[in-house]
Amino acid sequence: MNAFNIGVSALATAQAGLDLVGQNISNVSTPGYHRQSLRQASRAVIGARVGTGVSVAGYVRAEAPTIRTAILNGRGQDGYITARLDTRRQIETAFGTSNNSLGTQLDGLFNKIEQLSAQPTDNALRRDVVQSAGDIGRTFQTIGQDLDTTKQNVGQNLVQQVNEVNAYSLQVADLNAKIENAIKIGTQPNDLLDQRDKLVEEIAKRVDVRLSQQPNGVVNVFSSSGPLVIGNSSIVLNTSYSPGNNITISYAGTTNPITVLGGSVGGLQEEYNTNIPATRARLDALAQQVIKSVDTAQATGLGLNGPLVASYGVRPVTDPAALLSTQNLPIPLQAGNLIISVTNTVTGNRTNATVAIDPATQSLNALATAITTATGGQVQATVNTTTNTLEFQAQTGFKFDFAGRSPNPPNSVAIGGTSVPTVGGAYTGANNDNYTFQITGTGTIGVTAGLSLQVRNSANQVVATVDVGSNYTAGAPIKIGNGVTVSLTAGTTTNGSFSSPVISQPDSANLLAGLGINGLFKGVSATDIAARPEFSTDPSLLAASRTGQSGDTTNLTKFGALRDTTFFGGVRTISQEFSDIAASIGTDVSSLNSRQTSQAGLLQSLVNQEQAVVGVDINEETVKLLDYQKSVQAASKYIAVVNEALASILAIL
Amino acid sequence: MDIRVTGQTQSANAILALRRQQSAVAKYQDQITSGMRIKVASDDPSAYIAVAQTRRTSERNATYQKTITSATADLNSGVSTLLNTKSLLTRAQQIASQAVDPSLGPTDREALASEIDSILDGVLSDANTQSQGSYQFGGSKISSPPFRVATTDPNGRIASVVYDGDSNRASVLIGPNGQTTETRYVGSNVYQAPAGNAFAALISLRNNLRGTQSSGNSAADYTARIGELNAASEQISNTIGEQSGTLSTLEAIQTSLSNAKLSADSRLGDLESADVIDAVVRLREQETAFQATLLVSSKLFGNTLLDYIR
Repeated sequence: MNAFNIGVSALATAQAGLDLVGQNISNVSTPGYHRQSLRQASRAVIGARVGTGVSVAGYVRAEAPTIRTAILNGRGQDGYITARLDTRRQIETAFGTSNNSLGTQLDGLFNKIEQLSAQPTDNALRRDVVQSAGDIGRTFQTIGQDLDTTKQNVGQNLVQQVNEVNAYSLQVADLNAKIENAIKIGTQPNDLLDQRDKLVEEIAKRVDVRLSQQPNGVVNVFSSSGPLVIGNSSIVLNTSYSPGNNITISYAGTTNPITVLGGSVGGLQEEYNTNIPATRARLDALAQQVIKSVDTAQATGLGLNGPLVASYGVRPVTDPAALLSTQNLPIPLQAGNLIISVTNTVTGNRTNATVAIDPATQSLNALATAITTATGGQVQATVNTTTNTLEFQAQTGFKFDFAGRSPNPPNSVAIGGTSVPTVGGAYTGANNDNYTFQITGTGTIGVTAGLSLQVRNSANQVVATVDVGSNYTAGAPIKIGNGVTVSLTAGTTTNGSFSSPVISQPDSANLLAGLGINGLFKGVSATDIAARPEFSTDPSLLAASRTGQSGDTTNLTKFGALRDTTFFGGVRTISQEFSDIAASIGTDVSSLNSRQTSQAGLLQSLVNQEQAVVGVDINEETVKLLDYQKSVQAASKYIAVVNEALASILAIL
Repeated sequence: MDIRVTGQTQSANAILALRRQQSAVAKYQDQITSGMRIKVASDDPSAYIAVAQTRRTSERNATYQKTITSATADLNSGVSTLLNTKSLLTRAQQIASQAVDPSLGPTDREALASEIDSILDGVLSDANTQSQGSYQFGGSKISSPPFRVATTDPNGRIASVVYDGDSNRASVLIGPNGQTTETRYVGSNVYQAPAGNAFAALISLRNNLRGTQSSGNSAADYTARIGELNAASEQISNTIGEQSGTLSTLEAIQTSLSNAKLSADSRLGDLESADVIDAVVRLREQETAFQATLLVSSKLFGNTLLDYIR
């Protein structure tokens, strides 16, 4: 009887509905699950009959493709931002807090240097300065190591993420094949579609994706740089380290790098290849500037023991026989002069030797020879063949320094009489110069009225005219400006002159800092900066003076001036540069944090919108449950009635 | 059409809200317990640089306050020593005045000469005085005595004194741009200036009293000695005046630095420190919002239609 078939079809359809409601309810909290609904269709009419019942035409999976695309884009953004934010936060931690950082230590060093000017012979204060320099070195190294460790972790994470993309892509390709097969045989693989959507979302978190719908439910997955999944094939991505230590991503079997624009992979790659190296480069540049500035001030001053007997460099070259310009010295030399003062320890006389330096034409070996020649062999410069560094050794009876003091006696002394001139002080002019001193008059220094001394610079401009007659105390230093003094001992004089170089830059070639001669630091960057150990052993080596006197603090003034000098393109001081680096990182963190917060809100809004279409509502399913329950009851009742009717018919027999 | 709100949507929204509020609560708790609003640059990037600069200014001012304190101690020591020298020279002038009296006998003159010897030792001691472990009147040569006895007479008494110090004053950094103050003077300009040489005047007076001075023992000689001692005293007074003037200047700079440091510290507090009252109020707000979200979230898992099906 057709009635039975109709009843059975109704029962079966209602049961299918119940099954579906059960499936939906049981997956109410399953991430990525799309609710399904039953599509019922009346069965075909055969002949003159009214109908043959109902059947399940299909299971309809709820979808919101436009919102899904927006969610995938959002996941990519979120992945990119989160990857960068986590990395930037780690880097910010390495740079310390506002009241305990490398910046406060750098300021502390300059404060201690200036404080030393009050008691320049105090060993405890000197140790304080050396300790401070040592702490700065250690902090630079720690930050550098933290950056390197962070970069290493980012690299490992990046490789891991790419491997995950490959794994997910393979699974998507596999699902494409299964989905295609299922659709071809007429089934609706909704669970496979859900799985594939989840996997694609995982890929989207890692790289930017774009989907392309294909026939039979196949989806091709692309990133901005090319395909990841085409049909049932996935394209494998490889990671490799390039000579510049960048990580490149390429398709397996090729070497051309591809650009990943979004996702965590994009963010990590940007941090690894660009941002962390940029931060590291700024840190290294800061360390190098500290080394160069402080070492130059130290090397061109005098410690408590005055001139040196020996000094050795700590910054080597690769090949002492090759031109210095080819040696890639981190603190490069430039064409200029080095002025070495050589003191005869017996007579106390001091001469200045000027060494012309040109890294484009000199090797380290040639430079050593030039220094020895310029000092007449009184200071021997040699190359240590083990360390490839430059070393200075004074001959017996001599000492040397690089403080740029005036020679004693002055040059070209051509005054008659018994008075002896001396030029002293610490020249503070901007550029090196040569002063000529011309005596006017004849008589006794400090006695004869009208005796005067005129000072001219190398441009023949009058620097000063001073009384050396009856208003002058013989032997007393006269200040003639720019920190220079001149004195004439008691005695007679006739018209005559003498001259003296006045030096503020004894090393215009950067040789001392470049080769690490007589400096406070060793190392050339944040990786290896450290205070030289001999200063901890003997803090008297710290060069507070430019004149050689124990209480002279003119070199501390030079040290102190470094804190206000702008470097880094003439824009920032050393301390300001650190603050700027930290503030840049802080700005990144703050900005990324804000973006992450708003992105999270946006994503949640999109997810809510999608859930509104594809999500399971318990109450809705419960209504359907009641509906199907009633259908089962009605179909059962119908079948029972039909059965009774049939029994009645059979009872006729 | 009304939007469908599923259980997952409600749960996810609740979780997001709870996370945000917990994060805000933690932030204000940290501000209250640490007292700091800006610990790292990301807390307030634009204020961070101002914080660093202000801290730098404050600590630099503190350094200059220390160096000025040290310089003040040295100059006070110098003034104190010079005042002592001046009183010694005044006594020597009194002795010279006494010695004019021709009725003084050899015994009396010997006694006066011995007292001048003591005064000479005292002035030499003053000239070689130290402050904070460094010599006060050697210029920038502060590690060894600036004056020494060059020659003595047959009885071992001071016959001449020479200056071994430096010809430049020592200075201390007291401000930015290389601002310094001179603290240790050139002793030869103070004690042996041609216009007033204390040692030479005392030695000559002593020799006059003992009759060994080539110029003799007359009233005119002693009058000349008084004049020399007066000139030496004048030289000392000039130095006292200069050092006193520097002390006044340092006091003014110290006051200015103290005010500047106070101002910097105050600004640092404004920039960096947490406004505890504000943080407490905001913490209460966030805690209230958090409690409200918890309450609402608990209602999410209330009755559904399933609970009403018999």
